[in-house]
Amino acid sequence: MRTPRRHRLLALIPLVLVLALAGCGSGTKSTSSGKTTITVAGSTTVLPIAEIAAEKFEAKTGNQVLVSGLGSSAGIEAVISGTADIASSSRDLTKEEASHELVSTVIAHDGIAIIVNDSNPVKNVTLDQLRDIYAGKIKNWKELGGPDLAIQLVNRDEASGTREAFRSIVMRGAEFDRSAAVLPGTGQVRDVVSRSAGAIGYISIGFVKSDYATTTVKTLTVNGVNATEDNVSNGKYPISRDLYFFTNGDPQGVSFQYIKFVLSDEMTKTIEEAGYIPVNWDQSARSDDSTSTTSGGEGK
Amino acid sequence: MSGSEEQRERGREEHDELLDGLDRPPHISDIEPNKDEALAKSARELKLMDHATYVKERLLKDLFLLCALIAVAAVALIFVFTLAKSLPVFTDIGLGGFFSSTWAPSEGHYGILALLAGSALVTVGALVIGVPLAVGCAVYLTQIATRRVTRVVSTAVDLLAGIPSVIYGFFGLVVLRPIIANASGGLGFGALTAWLVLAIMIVPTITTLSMDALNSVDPGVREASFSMGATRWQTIYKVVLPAAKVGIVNAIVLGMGRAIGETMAVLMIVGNAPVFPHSITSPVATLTSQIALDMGYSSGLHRAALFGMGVVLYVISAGLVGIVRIITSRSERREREASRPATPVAEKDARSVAEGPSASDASALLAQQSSAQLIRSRLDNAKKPRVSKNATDGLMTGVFSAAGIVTTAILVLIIGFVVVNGAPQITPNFIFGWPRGVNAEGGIFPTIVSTLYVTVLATLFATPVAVLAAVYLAEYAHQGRLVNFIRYATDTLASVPSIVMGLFGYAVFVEACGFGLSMLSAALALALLMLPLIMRTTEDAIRSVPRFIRWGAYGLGASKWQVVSKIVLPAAFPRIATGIVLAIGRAIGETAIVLYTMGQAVNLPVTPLDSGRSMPVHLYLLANDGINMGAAYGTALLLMIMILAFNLFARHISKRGARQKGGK
Repeated sequence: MRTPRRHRLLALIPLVLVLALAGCGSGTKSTSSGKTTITVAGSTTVLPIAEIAAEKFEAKTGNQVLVSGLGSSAGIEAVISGTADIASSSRDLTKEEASHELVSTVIAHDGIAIIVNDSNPVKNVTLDQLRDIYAGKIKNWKELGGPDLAIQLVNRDEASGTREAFRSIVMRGAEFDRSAAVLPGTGQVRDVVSRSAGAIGYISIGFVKSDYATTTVKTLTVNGVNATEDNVSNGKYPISRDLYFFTNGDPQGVSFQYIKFVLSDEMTKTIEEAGYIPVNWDQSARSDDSTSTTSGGEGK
Repeated sequence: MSGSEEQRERGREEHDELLDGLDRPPHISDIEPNKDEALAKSARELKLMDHATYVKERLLKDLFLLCALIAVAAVALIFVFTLAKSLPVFTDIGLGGFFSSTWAPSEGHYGILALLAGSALVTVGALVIGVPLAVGCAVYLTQIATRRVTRVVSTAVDLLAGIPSVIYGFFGLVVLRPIIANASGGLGFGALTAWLVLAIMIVPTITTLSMDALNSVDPGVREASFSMGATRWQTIYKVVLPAAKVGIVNAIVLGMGRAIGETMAVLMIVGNAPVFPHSITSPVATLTSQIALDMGYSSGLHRAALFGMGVVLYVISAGLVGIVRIITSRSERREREASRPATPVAEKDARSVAEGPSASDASALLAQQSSAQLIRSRLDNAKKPRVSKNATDGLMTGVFSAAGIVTTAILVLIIGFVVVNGAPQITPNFIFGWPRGVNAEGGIFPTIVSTLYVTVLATLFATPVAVLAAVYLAEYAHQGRLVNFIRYATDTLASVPSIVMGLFGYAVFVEACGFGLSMLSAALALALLMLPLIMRTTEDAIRSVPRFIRWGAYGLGASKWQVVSKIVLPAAFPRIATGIVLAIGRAIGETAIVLYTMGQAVNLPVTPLDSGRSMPVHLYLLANDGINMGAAYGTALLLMIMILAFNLFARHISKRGARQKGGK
């Protein structure tokens, strides 16, 4: 009585074989409808720019852009191995990576903000103090004029371009204290710091103010300079870096169009709204005041 | 898993024997398939079977053997590939460098000792908390609770087993971490948080297997103990637990394997600092979490070191399965010796009570022994000033009940947490919409499709192979070394940490086969996860089909394949279906395997070569991004609803199957 069901099950075997065979053909990424899909992988910092650009680009051209963020190194590795078309990165190439034929495009500038808990009275750190904090030499907020409270280090994972930029600008050869908590996402660093009294972390300036987060964090001034877009673009804020797209060889076809779109005027405002500094940043275009005062703690 | 399931199997056979009142040899299953074979052979000799039929039967048998060998091949391939990929560990890093204490890949240090220490700390702590809870729960359910309570609590335990690890991790990250952070003044990442979460996660494994062991203890032994005037606690402590000791130890060892291999939950809550743990509230890293964290971007020696860590994990889990098999086979041998009336019963240990029912003499003897022991111990106890035995009994019964209640409460807490936070998110737009604006708005439709797509594909790959392999093991194979080896392979495959399967899937399907990050790569890797689960349940199901039905069919001149396809498989269908559905539930929630085989970009997959982001991966990335926790809760809720629905559906099938059987 139940034999038909059994036969149906057996009938699946050829189906599976066909599927497996179909899978053996090599993967081309253009679909039948003439639309092309490209993949952008890499930095979580660049995610907001890449994703919003992808949405607008898709609406405009019909070509699909798949964006994922697992860290700059992951993206660069993916482009080298061919699993992604464009790597988004918040750091420049390492020596080893530079040995491949990667072509870089700067898409925006960004500052790295030093964030602490809202309740922390400390207002400023120097670059040297910051290095000592992250090297594990300064262990208490007391040493920075704050309360007697242990410093809880929050670091990023090694795939992170923000970590790499922080390492080259702040650490200058000193090693990170490896007992720091390592968190794999910018948002998570922000969230953890916002909830732990003694915590310190570093994130892209674009992430300090978040429309979606329910908690706020406070930024420290570095060498007395506030972490604002203006101070990054005029070079006063010491911890800043460029954000990149890397392609394997010169970008072509849809990849080229996409990168061109990201650099277009249409995206300038979006990049600015996301808290980054567009490549063609024109300071006079901004109407609001943005002087380098030492007031910290912003956020909505 | 083998140990206690074999025990359960044996228990069932013995139970049937007692019911039938038949005088059968004690280890009937050892002889049975040969008998079947002999019948089929003699049928052919009598020219009842023509040549074509004979060839067909041969070919089918070979096909089934091939399927069974796929499991063995998978186990071997996983090991060989992972080992091959880790060769630079031996040549360039050197074993001395690999087993040193500094893990700093960017500076060229690839020492895993700190990670091993982290894994050990996390695992031991989880066992210390989880084992009393799990064993207590098993004792409560089998010895104390009423039937109705048992039904509720054991459902809770099953559902806990079904909750995917990424949801446990999410729960730990969002609920437990802040609590521990406040209490300790730290960040809340660290071993303590991992202990609490892992302890909950290993409870279902240990409880289910311990319950099997406890249930297979002959009720007569308990009754004998009660009739001696022992209280319930005394009976549990002095008679039942020792009798079920082997099964419980196996359960704990397998729970340990689960804890060592757990990846996503640990990754989200340990803090990932690759140093020797300073305290239980400071960040640490484990082998699994470090692999998952680094896999995406590693290259060269770093990647080789990750594969080397995969080899270490593989060896640990295969070793644990080996230990279980040794313990089980040793106790079986002891049992067989004890059940031979001529052999003097050597053990004073009450453990040997377990085999009572197969030989009534021995059982009586052992019951006598255990009662003698009871009297002795009670005399000992009487010398000490002590609270009355009834007070102790009440206290301990309360402790066991608490274990059951705590387990159920934890389930309610986790489900409640996800439902309360997730329910407001669930709108048609959330389910059928696309993510927009860095996943901060919109829905999760592509991730739902990706999850279902990859699960269906994996089921199509795994099911035929697993069912046919199980048919071979249960119906065709000589019970000998080959079958034992296949079972060992299957058990090992079942216990290989999922991140190791992810590594393997990446190395083989993504890179070597050139499938890229795709549904196909992820489905093939997931099929490896599902294969042993389906094989095990199918084999159990087939074995539980009564022998005499087959004999009847053979008597009517049916060929072996006719018997299998027309009689055995239909009869075993409800339980096979249950196993398949449960395996599907596991596959839906699996994160570590798909993370690096399927890709992470949000995409609506069309062909098997398309990449995509599954719901568990989406949840993990949302938790990392920390931008839109609402969507994370919503995803967690939908994921949990899907998996719990599958689990309840599986329970429904197996219950209906049981009812139909009863009705026949």
